[in-house]
Amino acid sequence: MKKKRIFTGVLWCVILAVALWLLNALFMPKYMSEIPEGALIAEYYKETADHDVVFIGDCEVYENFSPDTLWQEYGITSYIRGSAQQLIWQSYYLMEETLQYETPKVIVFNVLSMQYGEPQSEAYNRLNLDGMRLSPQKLAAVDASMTEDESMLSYFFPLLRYHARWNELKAEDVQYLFHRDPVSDSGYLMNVEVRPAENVPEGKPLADYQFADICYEYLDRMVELCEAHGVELVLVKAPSLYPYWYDEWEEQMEDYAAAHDLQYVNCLEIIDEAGLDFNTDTYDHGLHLNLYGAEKLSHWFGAWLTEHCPQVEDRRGQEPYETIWTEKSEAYAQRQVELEAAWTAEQKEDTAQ
Amino acid sequence: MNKKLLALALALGLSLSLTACGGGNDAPAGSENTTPQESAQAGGGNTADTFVFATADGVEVAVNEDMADVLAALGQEQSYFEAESCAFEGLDKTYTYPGFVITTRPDGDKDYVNSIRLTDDTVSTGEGVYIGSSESDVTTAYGESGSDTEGMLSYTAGDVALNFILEDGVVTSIEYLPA
Repeated sequence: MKKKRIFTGVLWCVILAVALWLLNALFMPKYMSEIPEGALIAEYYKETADHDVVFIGDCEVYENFSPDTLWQEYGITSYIRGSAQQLIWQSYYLMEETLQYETPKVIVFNVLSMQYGEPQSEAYNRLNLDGMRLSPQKLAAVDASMTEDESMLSYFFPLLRYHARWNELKAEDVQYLFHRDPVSDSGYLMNVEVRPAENVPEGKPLADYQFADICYEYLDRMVELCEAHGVELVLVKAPSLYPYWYDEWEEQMEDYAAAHDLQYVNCLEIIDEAGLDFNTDTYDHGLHLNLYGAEKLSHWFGAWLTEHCPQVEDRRGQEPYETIWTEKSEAYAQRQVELEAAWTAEQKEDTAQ
Repeated sequence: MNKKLLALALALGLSLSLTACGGGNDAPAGSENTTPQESAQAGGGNTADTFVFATADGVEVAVNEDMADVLAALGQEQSYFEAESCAFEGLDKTYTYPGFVITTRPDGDKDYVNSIRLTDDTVSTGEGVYIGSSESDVTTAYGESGSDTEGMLSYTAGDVALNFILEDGVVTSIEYLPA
């Protein structure tokens, strides 16, 4: 009789847990038809093979570098662990987490986030952290990222945060209850639209150009982490024209790279060499490159990697990479066709109006 | 069995009611919380207790003001730039006029003035400070600054902050921002 009671109690606990799990899954934003950036971080866990190069950083990595181009032209296997306004401590913990799954030859970190010395926005935190698997790294990333009104518990029991969506639930929330469609190609978020860069504002004078101590602390930790795992850390500044990259910031990054024996590439300085044309190669007036710009930059960067990071191999013809990347390239080409058709239709519609 | 079902329903109800008290921000993550601050100037209200910029032509522009009203008063800008924020909808817009630059932030279907930055000495603050003024000109006009940021003097009136950036004791930037 006692055993039966225990069994029944356990059974009801399981039922309750499953019900709460289902509610969590239902109420979580799916980031499929809107704000696909929110789905980027979780997509990494579906990867089936390791990568020689992993990019980590904010929108300047997931919009500006094309892993498919690196593969097609140089046989470089790569993945972008990027997310919108990814802060440096989030990058650090993503780096630490990535190294739990694989040991790439090179990690490329985009340095724009050095400008943010404190948590910025709950909305961006959610895009960057909700997709992380439960891990000590997620715990630490949440702890470092929370703004004043946030609670850590809500990152681990999302229902605490998203229950207010009950009146916003859509068919998509049911359709993607147990799965997500891929929104990126190896972390690259494709955009084929064209909006020329015009009247890009100069940076406004700042009272203090010095990067915050906490940013340097996390950069130091990245250096130590990569050294401990035998990974080369490469610093980059993507060629986005806006937000403005100050000379004083550039000087600090150059000094840091020199002091720590790191390679640093400021892609703003190779815009002409890479053949980037901000009349045709950006989809939002110079903030991010479109597909054509990302492919040009990746063509240039692949050559740079091949020359300056010889440990990165040409994996073409090697299994399982050949099979995996053939499939990835097909999906990439298909996405390009679909997006170009949608953009053409949008332009025709605009012209008709 | 009915009692058990009732117990389960109660447990679920309790869990959901607890989640409703879970703290945090109730706005969905699908949108940034960019509610514009209430402004003394918005809607043409009293401006005596806040900082308001006036152009050389005497047109007043205030932080948090509806940009549509500002555009109607100022006319065509010299140049225009718009930046879509990463991931979220809405454009941060930059309007450049001779002597000053206005940026906006979106909220709903409207844009509100987020900053006014003076860029040369053809315009000045209401208290007569301009790019090129000395630090003592600023403190004479506004008193001692409450800012502890080196190289910057900052003053707040109502919901507007007025920041002066100095280099070698000379004002190089003047900006009105939400406080």
